[in-house]
Amino acid sequence: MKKIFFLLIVVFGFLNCKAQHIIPTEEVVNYLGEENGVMGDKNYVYLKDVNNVLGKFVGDWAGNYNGKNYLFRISKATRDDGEIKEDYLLMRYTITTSNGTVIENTLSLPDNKVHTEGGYLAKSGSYVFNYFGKDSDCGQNGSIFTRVLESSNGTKIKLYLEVEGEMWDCTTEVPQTMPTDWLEVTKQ
Amino acid sequence: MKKINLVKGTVLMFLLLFSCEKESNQEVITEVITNPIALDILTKKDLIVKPYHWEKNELASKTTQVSFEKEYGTPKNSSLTVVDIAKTTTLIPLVDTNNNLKSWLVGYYNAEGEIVYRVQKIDTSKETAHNLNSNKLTVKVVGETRLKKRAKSIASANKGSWVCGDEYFYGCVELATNNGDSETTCKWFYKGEKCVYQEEQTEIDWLDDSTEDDWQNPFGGGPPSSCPPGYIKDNEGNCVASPCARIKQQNLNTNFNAKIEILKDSTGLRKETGYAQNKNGTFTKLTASTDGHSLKINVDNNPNIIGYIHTHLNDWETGKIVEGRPEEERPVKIFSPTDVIVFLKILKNISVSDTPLTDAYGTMVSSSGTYTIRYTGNTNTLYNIKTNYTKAEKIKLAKDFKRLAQKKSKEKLFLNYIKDSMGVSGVNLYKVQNNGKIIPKILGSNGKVYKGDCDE
Repeated sequence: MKKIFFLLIVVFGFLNCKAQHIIPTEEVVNYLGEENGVMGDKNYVYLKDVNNVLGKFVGDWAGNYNGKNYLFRISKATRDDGEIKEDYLLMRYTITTSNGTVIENTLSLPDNKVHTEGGYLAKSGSYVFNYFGKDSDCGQNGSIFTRVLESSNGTKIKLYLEVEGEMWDCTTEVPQTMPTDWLEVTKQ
Repeated sequence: MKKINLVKGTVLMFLLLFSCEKESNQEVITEVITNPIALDILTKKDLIVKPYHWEKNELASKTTQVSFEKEYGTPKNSSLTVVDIAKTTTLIPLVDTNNNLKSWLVGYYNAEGEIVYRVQKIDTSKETAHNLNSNKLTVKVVGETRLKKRAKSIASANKGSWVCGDEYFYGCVELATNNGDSETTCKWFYKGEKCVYQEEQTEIDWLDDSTEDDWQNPFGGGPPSSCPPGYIKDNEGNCVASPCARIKQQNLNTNFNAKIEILKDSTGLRKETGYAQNKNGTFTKLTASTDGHSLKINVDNNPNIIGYIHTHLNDWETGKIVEGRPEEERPVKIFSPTDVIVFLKILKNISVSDTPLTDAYGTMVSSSGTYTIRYTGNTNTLYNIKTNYTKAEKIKLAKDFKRLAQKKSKEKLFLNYIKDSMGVSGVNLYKVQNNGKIIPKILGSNGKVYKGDCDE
């Protein structure tokens, strides 16, 4: 009798849990082209950084490109929209001229307003941020490929913006402020 | 009872029309036209126009002259000023006292064969709008309507069948010449396809006891309960060609197909390829962003553009390689929120012209298939859909969509997203397979996507 009671408790315990299907972050890329994406036939999935593959991106990274100074602050967060729970990366940044004039500073933006966020971890090992810049409606948008250099022992990142350039009600393209070719930044 | 009689009468008239091709025989009737919709918009002081019902004229070998009745501002007994009498539409310009164009009164034939007048472009200076009569171009609609055999089911009096045929009217255009005279030429004009729902045919009643209300709908009160094959009801209850029929028709068009083939061969390029289609059927190539791969299309205030076709690219290697491993771009292969906004703007543009909203389309060709969007809502619904977003709203909509579209079912996300996040209704998604089969993707009330069937 006790055994049955125990079994019942266990069964009910399972039923009460929201069925959670976990996909490790590094495997998400395999689902991108699938018809139902990561959802498959599930109602709820967790894209979880089980193996801490995102940890190495986190931190402040600084470098120089075309006479401008860049500081990238990458952090890790989790969000849940009721269908997908997801560990992902956010990228905040400052862009300054050589004499210190600030061109852009997104360091204080809240998570949901950040211009640059994940994205997914590509097969190349790069984290691909979706970028929707300050003037995204005038073409400042695309993917920022971000790779921690294995050769640097985790101290350097190379990143660049692959411009998509989608326009929304805007007829004149705004010049890009993000590097459109590889920029090497060093961990601070 | 009266309604039934009306139906019978209508059916008989239709049959007579269908079987006979009478030449007109020339007693002149003048119909006064009033337009309640125009009244609403143009204020009481302006013209009063009454719908002219072609059915009323069908039996008679009579001539009908369409004219305005002067109330205020419009010259007494001025003839209907028609700019374009091609096919199914008449356009009546309404101008202010300085002859600046303020709005259009558009008359067109709906699926019941009624002429419906509607003010298509509204201006704030309603007080002074009146009928433009200065160009002396007048049209008299004379003669009866005749129908040619294109019927899918002949008028064999089967209960509950739709009978369709091409409809023509005989019209004369009177054009003023420089020396003050006028020249008149008359010919048959194609008016469009007319379908009549035919109930049982027993005895014949005439329309003598018809009232003005009955004129609005010879089938008796309210819009028809169903539409013939290939037609669907819009939100106003009019039968309009269904998107399925439109897409099928479009796919038979050689020029359109040629462009689609070009696009199918172009999804592997580094920049998107696309065209805007103009009202006259020609295509204009779209240019891509300088640095990026997206296309630029500007449809603002351009009622000439009725649709667009474009590619979304295959996955492609960007050419950037680090530590021996190349980067790959994985584009989202479904319409973006921006694509939808462009489509909605096209709809809003053409809503002030004589082009039916069901003519507008947006098409996307990708390695995941070819998709088309079409609109089945009405003008009022359309005007309630937001298209002017702030910069912050645009960024949020685009960003959220891309993030979700990368990971979720694209069709399901698209339909739910435009409904929930963009407040869009009436925009329908269709997948066009390589074998030409068209599959409507229908959003269920449970948020799931179901496959429809265009061949039903």
